[in-house]
Amino acid sequence: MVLGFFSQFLTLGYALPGIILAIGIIKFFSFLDSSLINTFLKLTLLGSLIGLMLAYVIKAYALASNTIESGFQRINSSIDDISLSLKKTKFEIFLKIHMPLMKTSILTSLLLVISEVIKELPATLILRPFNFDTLAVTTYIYASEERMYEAASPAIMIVLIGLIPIIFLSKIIRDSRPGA
Amino acid sequence: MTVEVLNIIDLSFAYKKNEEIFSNINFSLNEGEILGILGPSGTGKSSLLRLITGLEKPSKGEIYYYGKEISGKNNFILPSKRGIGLVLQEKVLFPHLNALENVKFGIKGSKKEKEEKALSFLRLLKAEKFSKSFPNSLSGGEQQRVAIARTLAPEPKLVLLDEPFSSLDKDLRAELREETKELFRKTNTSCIIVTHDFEDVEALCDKVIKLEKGKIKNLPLSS
Repeated sequence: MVLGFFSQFLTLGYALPGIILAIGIIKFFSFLDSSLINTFLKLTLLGSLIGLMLAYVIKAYALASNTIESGFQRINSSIDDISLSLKKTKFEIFLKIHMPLMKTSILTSLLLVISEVIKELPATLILRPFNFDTLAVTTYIYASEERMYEAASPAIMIVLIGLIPIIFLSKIIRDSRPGA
Repeated sequence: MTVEVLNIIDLSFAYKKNEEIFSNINFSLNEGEILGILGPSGTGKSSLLRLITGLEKPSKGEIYYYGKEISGKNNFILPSKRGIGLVLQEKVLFPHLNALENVKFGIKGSKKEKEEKALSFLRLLKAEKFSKSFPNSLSGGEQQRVAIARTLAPEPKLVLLDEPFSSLDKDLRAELREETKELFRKTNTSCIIVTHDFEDVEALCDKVIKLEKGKIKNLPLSS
């Protein structure tokens, strides 16, 4: 129940503007840095890659979670009953039945997360560590300086990185259909 | 000597508190016997099968399987440890596995043993020719043959059938009924079949009970 609530709460992250999320993480990390973590672990969270990763997780969680959940809901619950009567444990059912049946949903969610993370800009701009630029940040910096030729290649890379997984995933999804 | 496979004592069940579907049910089943359970919809026939397989816990009473308590106040054995076969009305084959792989799923042993055993059960149910077919390319009757083969392949001592022939046409139903009965006789498997159809009971069962208004009534087969 707690996990369910936490999961639902996390899905709000997708609706949050990146800038609001980034400011929230900065506030939270500066509180941690000034209190617990710094005292005991001598670790500074603010400006580290952890903040950026956390922002990506919060932003992309809803996409991944909804896709996987809808894939799971499509599995007939009687399949579990039959598997249990065939002396299979819940872990075996997860591994041999649920996972193969959810392969398409998992791959689709992976694709959605990749495309979401790769094009994310506001939170990345604020939370990225020094000397750490993503393709979206590089494109933005060049474009804001009106250096369009230089901005073109990272922009094209974003499109290609989004496209290549689609081609591979479509093939995998097609092959994974029963009887293919 | 008759061996008692299943003994149900004062069994009651409710999905919600104080809303019992049935109460104080008693019956038993001997080895090799086929018991039919008749009754209108909503009387808890399927719930009774779920209790026997361990998919639900009784609110009161005990279930004994070969003399050992499997559900009761003091003991509850998980469905995966009971090994009681189950065939449902809806066709629930694993959609990503072909017919042979479906039947192999519950069999223990080496790869070769599993394959041979699965094929032999498909052969018994005249389903060998579509062993490589996936469920989405099989007809309703073919799917049900594979489902029965899958349930019988691990050689359970007790099989529960929940309206297994209800979605089939009349001829196919009669054919599959005969084949299933023959198979149960051959393997000396005990069986409980839940059905709406008295023809199923007449053709298959050694004894029959009726579940109505939460109580059980023994019926003579001739009725």
